[in-house]
Amino acid sequence: MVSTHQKEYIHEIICLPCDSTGTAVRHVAARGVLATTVIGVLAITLFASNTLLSDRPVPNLPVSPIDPLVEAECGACHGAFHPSLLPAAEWTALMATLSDHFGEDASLDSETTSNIEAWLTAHSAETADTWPARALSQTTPEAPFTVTQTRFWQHMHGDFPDEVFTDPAVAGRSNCAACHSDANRGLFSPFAIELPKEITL
Amino acid sequence: MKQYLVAVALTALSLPLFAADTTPAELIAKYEQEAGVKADIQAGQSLFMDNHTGGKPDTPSCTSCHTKDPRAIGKLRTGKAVDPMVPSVNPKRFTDSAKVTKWFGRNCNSVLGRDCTAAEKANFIAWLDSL
Repeated sequence: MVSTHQKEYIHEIICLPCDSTGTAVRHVAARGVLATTVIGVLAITLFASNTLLSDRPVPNLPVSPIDPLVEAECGACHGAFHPSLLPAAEWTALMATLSDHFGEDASLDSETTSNIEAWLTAHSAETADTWPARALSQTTPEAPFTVTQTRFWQHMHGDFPDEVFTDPAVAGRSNCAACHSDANRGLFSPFAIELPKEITL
Repeated sequence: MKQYLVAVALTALSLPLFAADTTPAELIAKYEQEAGVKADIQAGQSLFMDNHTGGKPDTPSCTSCHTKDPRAIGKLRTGKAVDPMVPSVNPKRFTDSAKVTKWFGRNCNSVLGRDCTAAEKANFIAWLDSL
């Protein structure tokens, strides 16, 4: 129990200075101009930084779209793979062995070969900041330049039965775009995956 | 008059998409001259239809991708479609000399394991052009 004497004492401590009814009062002048200025400066700063940041290009996103020469030559036989899916050293190795390219002769004249190689190596996995580019930026000596043989690819696709890849709507493990609608930009977002209607799992 | 000009301009713009610099007949004549013999349509058919050895194991024949009906749309090992080989079905076929050189170079090596001779090229186009 708090005695009457204690109550008066607490009242004295809390309520100084007090008005005539004993309610505590603190006299502070309203500083409307200062308040408006502070809020205004904060608002302008936030708005300006938001605008400036969103105007900047996103650093290291993979290039888009695929170079027209690469699209024409590589895309003549298969969906042109995004350059960010292999490290530069593997693109160089691949371009040096076009006469035996996954079981076929895919030779090009030397000028076209060097132009394509220059573009691929300039946009290789090391230059991109995406999940697949980071995962595929290591060379794989046991299966050079074969994305589908990498541990990363197999880990991501290991659950799918063979029939998915042999289905005519997919036509092979190399046909990324059959399910990944953003394959040609190298993004491979989980939200851009759409299995062909023919596939039933 | 104005509409005519617009049509001419649009046609001119669309030309580079279809780089036609030769015809099947011209190519046959050129390869016949190189070979020094007339094209043999029957030999062209065998070259296309037969299974060969010496090339790469996945592509023993032209028909591996172009199918046994060169009028039909073929299918590459990657699943991609390839336009018909017969010029009367696909008028773009054998009209771009750079393409013809490129694909004879690649596919003769893939199927036969060597370059095709001028006579073989003449036979090949002559058979397809006769269909």
